[in-house]
Amino acid sequence: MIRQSSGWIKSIRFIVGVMLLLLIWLGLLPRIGALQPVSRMIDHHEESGIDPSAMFYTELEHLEYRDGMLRKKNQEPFRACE
Amino acid sequence: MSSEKNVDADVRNNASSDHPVPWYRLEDWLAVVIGCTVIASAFLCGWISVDYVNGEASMSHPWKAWVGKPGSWVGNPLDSIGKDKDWSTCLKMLGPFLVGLIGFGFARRMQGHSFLSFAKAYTVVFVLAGLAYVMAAEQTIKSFNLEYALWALTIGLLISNTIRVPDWLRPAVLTELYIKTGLVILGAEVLWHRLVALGVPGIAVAWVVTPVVLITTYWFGTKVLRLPSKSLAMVISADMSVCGVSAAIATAASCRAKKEELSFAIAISLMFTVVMMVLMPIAIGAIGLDEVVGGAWLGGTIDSTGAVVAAGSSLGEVAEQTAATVKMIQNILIGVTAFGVAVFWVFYVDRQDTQNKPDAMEIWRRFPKFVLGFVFASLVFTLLSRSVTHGESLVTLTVKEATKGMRGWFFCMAFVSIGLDTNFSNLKKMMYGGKPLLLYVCGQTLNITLTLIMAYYMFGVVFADYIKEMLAK
Repeated sequence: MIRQSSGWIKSIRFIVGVMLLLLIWLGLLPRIGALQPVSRMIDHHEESGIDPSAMFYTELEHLEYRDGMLRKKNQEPFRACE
Repeated sequence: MSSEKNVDADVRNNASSDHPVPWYRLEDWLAVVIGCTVIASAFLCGWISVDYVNGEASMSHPWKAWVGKPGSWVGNPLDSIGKDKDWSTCLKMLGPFLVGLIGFGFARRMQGHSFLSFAKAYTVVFVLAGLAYVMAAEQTIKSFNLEYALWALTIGLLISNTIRVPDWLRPAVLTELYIKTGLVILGAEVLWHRLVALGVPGIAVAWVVTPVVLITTYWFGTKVLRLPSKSLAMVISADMSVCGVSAAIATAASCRAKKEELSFAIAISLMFTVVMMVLMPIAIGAIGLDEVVGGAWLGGTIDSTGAVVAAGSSLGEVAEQTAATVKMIQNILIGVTAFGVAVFWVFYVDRQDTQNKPDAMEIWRRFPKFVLGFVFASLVFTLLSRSVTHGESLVTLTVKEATKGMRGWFFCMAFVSIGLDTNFSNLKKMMYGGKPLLLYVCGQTLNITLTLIMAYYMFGVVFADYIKEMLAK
């Protein structure tokens, strides 16, 4: 009897955990993402092709190794620095 | 990393007994075999498929359509795997699934376990890893650099601390095998000649400051704060001074840290990364630092690679590319760090912990062999990129379109496995009265200060013209 109830408690805990994750991912995060400063940041990353979750430099798709540096693909030299 | 349920630990124990286990059953060597097979096949497939049109090489890796991860999404998680009813992402997940099934299934067979029971459990672990990827691909989460490792851990922890891990799932909870194999594959991305990118200023910021901060933080943690776990102090130090999650994974495996220690170090690092990627560009703007100096400062201090680029881009393209290059050098330093830590642990830390002085055979037995596979892969790929025709492009293509996707999945499954193997009570034990957090804060403060001084001096004063010339190329 005790085992049965503890099994129920575990299942309920699991369901509550899953519900919480769903609430955060489908309810809270989209709202945070819609806030102006956050959405500006997201748009900037999207436009520039930046992946802020990259773990290693090889995951930076918008950059390539050229002439001793990681540079943007097909980028003109920086005029201001000449 | 040690664990009571660790198959490799059992095998190691057996190896020291009267009946040594043959090398081909040891987890480290199996990881080397699987990892090297994956990167060698990927390179060969890329090499064979190069087309020459009017003397120009046209490259597309044949694995490209078969290796990938869920894409970013907002509102509807299904967009992550099938946006606009384009289900090619599902196909891209099939490659890593099959490679893992065959590779790790082979390893389990070599260790005397059933392939079928592994295959059933592996499928579920892979699906959970996919779920972690989908969670990490939510646009807001992604923008704040909250990497898949965190969500893979969360999923595993949720299961293990509520409904418990069923016995039939255990055969695929193989944290160490996934991590070691992933690290051998990562070796192909560690190209040594790129260590000298940016020349002397890059060397000064990445080569000088990084080891100084790493060693000082470790010393501070073990001698001043007297952290009970040396491996935790090492993982936090490497994670903070080198390059976040990837350095933490490599170092934890090299010094055989506990799974909970790796999880804990990564959680602290990601927490501070979010704060630093938002605050540091504001601080640079407020101080009025030059874009190049600011970029070098960001690259040398923020743990995570993606966050470095995101923070740098908010200052401008010059800062973004300088920051990314400094971080790239630190990424490559993982090779030196992993090897150095493994040697230090076997020759110094293990010796201190045991009464008897170990002989050469004992030292060899304790040495994490997968580190040799990691360094070997890295040296071979560096040589290939320098010596083969179109080597640089071929290696980049192999890594970007084939191997990096594989190692990503293997790391993700490793973190799911850590979560499945971890109890909240064990995680609480890692708190040690807040000492790990204090160690991170002190180490990062030193890192921020030293990197700022070095970046200002090297990029803003001594080599300012050299860097300008380089940027103008």
